[in-house]
Amino acid sequence: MSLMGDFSKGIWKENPVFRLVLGMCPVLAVTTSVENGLGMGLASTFVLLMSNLMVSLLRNFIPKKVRIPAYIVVIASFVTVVDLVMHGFFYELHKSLGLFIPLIVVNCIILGRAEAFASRNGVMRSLADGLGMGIGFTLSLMILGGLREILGSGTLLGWPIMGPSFPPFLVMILPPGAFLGLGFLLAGMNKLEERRAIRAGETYEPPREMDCGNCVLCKMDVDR
Amino acid sequence: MKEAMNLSLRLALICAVAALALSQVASFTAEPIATAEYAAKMEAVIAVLPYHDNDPGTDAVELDLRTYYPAMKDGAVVGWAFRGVTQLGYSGEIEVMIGVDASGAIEGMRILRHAETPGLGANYSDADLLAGFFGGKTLAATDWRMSKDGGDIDAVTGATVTGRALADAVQNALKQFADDLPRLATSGEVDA
Repeated sequence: MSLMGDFSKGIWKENPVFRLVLGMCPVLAVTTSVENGLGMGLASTFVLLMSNLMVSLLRNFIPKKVRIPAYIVVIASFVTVVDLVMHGFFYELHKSLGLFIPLIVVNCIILGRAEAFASRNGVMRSLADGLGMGIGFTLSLMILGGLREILGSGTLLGWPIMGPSFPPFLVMILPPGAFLGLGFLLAGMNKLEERRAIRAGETYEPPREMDCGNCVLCKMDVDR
Repeated sequence: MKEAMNLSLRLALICAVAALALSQVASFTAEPIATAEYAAKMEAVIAVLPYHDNDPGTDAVELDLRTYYPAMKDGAVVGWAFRGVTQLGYSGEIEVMIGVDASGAIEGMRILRHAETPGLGANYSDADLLAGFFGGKTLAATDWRMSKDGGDIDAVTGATVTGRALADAVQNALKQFADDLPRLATSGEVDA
């Protein structure tokens, strides 16, 4: 696949949130507003980019048997960097994202890309993959955050847009709203894919990635 | 055995490099973090104090791990700011900054930290709302129960638990302040 293909697949075809359904903890927890979604997305994109870079560079140095701990050390280091820098320079954002910044460590998109892509591909391709996946993740968080913010608070990026007579659906910024919003967005995304497939004369299959047994981490043979 | 050595060595090397890099980042960000924390705290302190011409941060008085920020005008103390904490929040601790004037009446109040429900308890973060509920209240002349329990403190509809928690935080902090005031008044820095 070309560099462009490596980059663009993360945005639509293998979008980590709406297609691969990975990293649901931050997706559901921090998307109460566009701003939070953007902050979380950019933080994750940075970690994804750097961990893909390091794992790709070190792919011949890291022994297969201890690769997971090695990846986790790499990922956790960059997450700590993000946490410290954000704390010092973006204090308000750090406060509202709170605990979810350290939790980027266990975001399975990042370990998933390290394991499934960066550890088998060169530096440039891994960077393109990380950037595409990161942007796809960020856009997804902003879409879900925007939906929840508009319906749940009647604002977008903090600006009131729904007028004073709009009673906010409080549930949308509470945890259940995350599941409702994500569910509708996933359904919409599948519908769009189905329409596209039918128009192109292909048979539509629901994404295999949404089936746990087909997850890239489960299919991985232990000693490849 | 040889393989185990090889694996451990390589992993240890990766960890060592990571630790070294992180210690660099940590020492680089230590100062901005401290500055940002301090600025956020002082913003709340200044917001709750009456008009003053000193720097409450540099004039702050430490008393048994509690910090009191004095507001001074022309060398005379016109108010104090201090922290209040309660465990009674709907979800966990709530931390507030309270400002009182020279008579001990509440001048202003800010919520520093909370985990209350968005749209209900979290509505108390509004500064004007807090001023309406707690502004002008004093320790002695206030019944610190919710108005629906027969007290003097109004609450946001549907968020009485948070209101009670805030009343608890304020009342306890005011009590502590009243206890500490004699010692504060005699502390060197403020007399100057």
